[in-house]
Amino acid sequence: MVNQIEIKDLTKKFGKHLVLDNINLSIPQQKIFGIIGESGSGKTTLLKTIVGFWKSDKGRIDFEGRDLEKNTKFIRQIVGFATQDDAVYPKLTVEENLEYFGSLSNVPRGTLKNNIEKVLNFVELEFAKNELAQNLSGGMQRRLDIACSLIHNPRILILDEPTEDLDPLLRRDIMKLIKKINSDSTTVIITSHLLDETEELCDEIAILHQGKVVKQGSPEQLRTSFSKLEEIHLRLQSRKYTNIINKLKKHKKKVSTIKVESGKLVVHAKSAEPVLLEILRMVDRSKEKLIEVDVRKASLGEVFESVIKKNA
Amino acid sequence: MLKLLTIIKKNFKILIRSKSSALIILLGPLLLILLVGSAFNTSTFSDITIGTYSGEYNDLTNSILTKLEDDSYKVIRLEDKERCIEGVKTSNVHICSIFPDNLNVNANEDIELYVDQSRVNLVFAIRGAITSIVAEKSTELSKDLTGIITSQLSKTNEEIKANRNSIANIKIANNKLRTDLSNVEGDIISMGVNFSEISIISDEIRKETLDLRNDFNGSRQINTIEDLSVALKAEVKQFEDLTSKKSDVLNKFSNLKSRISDSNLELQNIRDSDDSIIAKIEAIEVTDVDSIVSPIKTVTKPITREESHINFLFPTLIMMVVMFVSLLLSSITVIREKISRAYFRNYISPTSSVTFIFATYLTNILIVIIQLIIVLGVMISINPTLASTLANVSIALLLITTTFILLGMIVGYVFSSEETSTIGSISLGTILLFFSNTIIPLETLPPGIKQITNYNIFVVGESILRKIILFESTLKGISREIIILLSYIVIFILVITIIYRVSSEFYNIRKHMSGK
Repeated sequence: MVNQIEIKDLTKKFGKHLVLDNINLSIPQQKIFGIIGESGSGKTTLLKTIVGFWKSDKGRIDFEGRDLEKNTKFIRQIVGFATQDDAVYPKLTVEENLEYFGSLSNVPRGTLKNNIEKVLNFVELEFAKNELAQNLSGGMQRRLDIACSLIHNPRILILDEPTEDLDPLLRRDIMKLIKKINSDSTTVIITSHLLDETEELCDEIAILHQGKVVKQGSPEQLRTSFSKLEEIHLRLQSRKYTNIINKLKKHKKKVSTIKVESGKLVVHAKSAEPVLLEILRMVDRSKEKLIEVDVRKASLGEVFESVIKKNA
Repeated sequence: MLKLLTIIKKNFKILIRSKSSALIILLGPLLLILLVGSAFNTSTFSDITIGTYSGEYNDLTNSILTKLEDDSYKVIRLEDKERCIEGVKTSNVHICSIFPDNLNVNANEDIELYVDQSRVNLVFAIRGAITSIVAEKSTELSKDLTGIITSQLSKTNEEIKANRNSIANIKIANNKLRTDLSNVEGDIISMGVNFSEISIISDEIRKETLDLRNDFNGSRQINTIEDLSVALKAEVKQFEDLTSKKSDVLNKFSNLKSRISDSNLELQNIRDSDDSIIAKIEAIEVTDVDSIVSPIKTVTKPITREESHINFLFPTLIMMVVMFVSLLLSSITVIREKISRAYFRNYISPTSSVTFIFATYLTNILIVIIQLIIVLGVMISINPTLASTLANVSIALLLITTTFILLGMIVGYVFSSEETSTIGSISLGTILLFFSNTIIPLETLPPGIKQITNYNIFVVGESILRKIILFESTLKGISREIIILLSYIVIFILVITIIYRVSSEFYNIRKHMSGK
């Protein structure tokens, strides 16, 4: 696997406040690379330092083997960046925004129109191309922001909290879009504090804590290395889990934790199979209608919690 | 170039689509020029009220007030001095003039003018007008008085000349009298009045008579001879008195001649004095009353052909429009871009900061140029002669506008919100305006501050426009001011290149630290 971006010993301070502390990261080409961390852990600062918006105090960043300091213009040409703030002009239409940012990114006039159409089609905003950005819905604005980042066909797309403030449906749309972008051979770097979606989306993940990368690897590698527990996800039509929870609490040796998350019952156990059989028996007896059941290794959330506790 | 055009196009679209900004920035100056144009297109003060009070108005006071009314001032006669002064405080009258009771030129009294010094320009104008009317009347009176003096002087001269002849005649008469006296004296001296022989003879007769008596005692003839001798003696005595009187007369004659000589000497002195007075009176070169009353005359003549206030206001008006629009527009454009969410995307695009700075400048200058075309169009329609100075005005305005736009951009880069930037621009503009000739004459400022204000961009710009518009100066004639503006432009460009990066970094660090 070829690494497209190499970050070595990157340190960034704001005044006396150390935000990034000796970061070392390797970001593989054409993959979706996730950076997760708590709020204030330095995710956005890391991304903005990667593109040279913030000047690093120490360290080196290489894009495809070229030093950022000496090749800023080239690097900005191959990188697209979508912020969590929707960095577009509200008073310009969708098409005008794309035209403007395309022009700034040196897209030749002849191909700019084609690129706009292609990108609009890609983010499914063709119908709104003459709408002012300020009149778009939250999801559409986010898609426009991503479209602006893609207008110059970047080889690397950086997305800072792309699903922030979006409802679940829009979030799903954006995730689909990110997958689509990646499938087009674009390396995607994404930050998020929504661990489920990161886990679902990313090929590789780095966990950032207090300005330091405390762990990097694929979701599977992270789960395996940090947790021996298995996770049962179960959804009933009635979404009433009180009886099941009360009965499971009697099997403390088998069950580690029980909680209800997004309308689902989530149970952690050293061995999922006997616990799941027990739950299914309870469901059968209560004549409840089972909608969904899933058994998996410990989630990224659990891994994350564990890592944070360890490094606290 | 393509990027530059794209950024300018974007700036224009954003500005126009922000309705309130477009309305204020684009239509504001036009509204201003329209209002000022219609308000100042006249050459006189209108509706200026002068309050007056006098214990007793007389012909002189009334004639001054009538002259003021003739000059379109509204004159209100108030009942007492306090009310008149209070009128200035309450703005019911613009100036209060207190005339002495029965104003009299001989009394050497003052006309008091009470003014509101906070309205300094208006005060100077009205006070000047009143003073000139009073001075006109005062000159008129002075001429009358001086006329009387000069005519009296002339008459005196004539009379002295006439007296001088009389003195000469008296002197001649005196001399003749003296000669006559000398002649009489000679005659008297030549008269023989020595009677000593008679006295001796008389004594001899007496002695012989005595001898005869002794010889012929008791003879009647002897007694008769003695009687004759006594009578002769008495006659001799009378002759002796005559001699003594002749001497007295001669003494008196001598005294008289001496007094006539003294009198002649005095007459000569008087004549000499008359000659001196006549010479002095005749030596007075200026005898014309006008020249005596106003030996040096000042006549205020306009150095321009302008006939209405609006023409004099053009330089200040254009400067105000240029300054406020340029400062506000450029600072708002910069600050909006800086706080815009899209700023980050601009920054990380492969476009240099110089392109953004230059595009911002070009956007602003284009907008100001559009406004100036309209403003100048209005001005030329009011005064078509301005068209001849248009080329020089355009060059000057390009420099002035560039200076203000760059200054406004610095304000935009320094501040971190649209509100503070707007307040900053307005404050800066107000300071520049305040330390110019627009509000108060710069000459009223302390010398040190006045020296600094000579480099005030508003003062420099206004000076350039005034010289070009009012005096049709060439660019060579304003080279000093142009050099000052070019220096400002170079300094501001340097400041912007330094501040651009620092300012956005500061802003973004603050934004980042506050977690926005």
